[in-house]
Amino acid sequence: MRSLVLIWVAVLVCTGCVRVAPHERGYLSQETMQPVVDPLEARAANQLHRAREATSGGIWSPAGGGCGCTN
Amino acid sequence: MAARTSGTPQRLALWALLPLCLALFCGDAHSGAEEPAREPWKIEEARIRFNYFSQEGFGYQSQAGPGPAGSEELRVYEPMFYLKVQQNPKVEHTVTIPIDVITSASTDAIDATTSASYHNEAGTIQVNTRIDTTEDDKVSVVYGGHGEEWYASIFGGIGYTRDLAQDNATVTVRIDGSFDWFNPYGPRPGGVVPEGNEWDFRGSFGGNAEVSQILNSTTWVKAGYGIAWQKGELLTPWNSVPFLCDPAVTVCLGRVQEKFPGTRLKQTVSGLLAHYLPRTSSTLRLSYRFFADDYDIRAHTMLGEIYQYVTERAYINAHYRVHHQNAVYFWTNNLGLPLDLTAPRTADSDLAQFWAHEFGVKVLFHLTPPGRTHQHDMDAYYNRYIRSNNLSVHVVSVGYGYKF
Repeated sequence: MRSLVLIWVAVLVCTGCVRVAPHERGYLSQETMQPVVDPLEARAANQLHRAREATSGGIWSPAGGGCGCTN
Repeated sequence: MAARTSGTPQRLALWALLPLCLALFCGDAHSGAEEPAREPWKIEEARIRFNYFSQEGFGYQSQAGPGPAGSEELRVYEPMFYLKVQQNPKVEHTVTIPIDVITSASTDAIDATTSASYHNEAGTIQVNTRIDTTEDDKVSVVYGGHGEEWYASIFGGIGYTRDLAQDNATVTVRIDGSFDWFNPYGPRPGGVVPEGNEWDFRGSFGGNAEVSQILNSTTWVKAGYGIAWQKGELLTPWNSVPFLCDPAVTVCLGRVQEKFPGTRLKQTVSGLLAHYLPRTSSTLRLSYRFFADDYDIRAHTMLGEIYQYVTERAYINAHYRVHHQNAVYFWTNNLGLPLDLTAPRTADSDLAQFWAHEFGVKVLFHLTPPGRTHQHDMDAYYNRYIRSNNLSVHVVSVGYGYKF
């Protein structure tokens, strides 16, 4: 766990000096490049996994869940 | 008494000053100027989706026989609604409402007081409010509730996001919590009858931190860390554990209710990379998540997705997801002698060791040409989820969206 955190911190620190100007972000503004492409689809996928795996929470809701029925 | 009478006018004066102070602080700062017309709330986006889940499989927690591993067959019909509303240029709300109609929700548990064994309906409402406090700072608030037969939950959270270096990097921190209460469904597996019509409770409190960074004009990455602590009755009321079985676990003497420790601490680390390929109009997304808790679960999840535009108005999305977890330290499918009813135990197949593979295909059409003010889109997808410990799910979904 600690090594994974360190790897991610290192990656972000090393890339932290990159600057892309707003007018160069055309591709980044594509629908398929958004953090959540479809909120309802993401929610349905989260529900599928949350109820069947012991690691409740989706990719971007890291450790939520208070319900034992979804573990 | 005299002091009281002499003090009364002063107190009255103070009370009279209160509305004045409020008016000064809360009133229109441009009172001398012509008051601008207040903009009405504006609906920005509406979405509707219908999901159908069909699950088949067997798990030792289920009593729906014939053997110790009972059926986990169920169907879920799930309409979902989503609305994005702009209150003003700085405040935006999203409302999400999924409704689940579930067959055999508790896989034939002994159930005298409710019909939750046979079918159940569940509904959730979640509101997210985002406030742009400055050009680079945002505060988000989430709150809502969930209800189903003999189970209810409320949740809430608050987050802060800071955009850095002309939005090239974003840092978000969030805390949230939830509180659940539920009825233990009358007589429990093994003939254990709870005293009275009691309710069980549990709470969850968590914190998340995320950092996202643009790497170049086609790539961005995101990393997150989360921690959550749960306390209360964490078991699933209808789950049972077979005891005193033969070595092959084909015949068992009976079942007892599962039992969980009173607390649970979870931690996760996750990462996402999104990359756009201009030459082929494709998007690649890769994500990884590591999960660990104090029940000895260690889980790794990887997800790969590709979005491929086939025309200017349509794309195909395919994904593959793999998940591996080990079992909780108190998992068993055969509780042996001596029977210690105070020790944690579960036979829940969701908490066992397994591999899970999922693949899916989605097609989306934009029904209006690009550049138009009002955008319609329609999509359909199919997902197949297969677990190595005898569980599989088909998911079919259709969705429609409208951007105003």
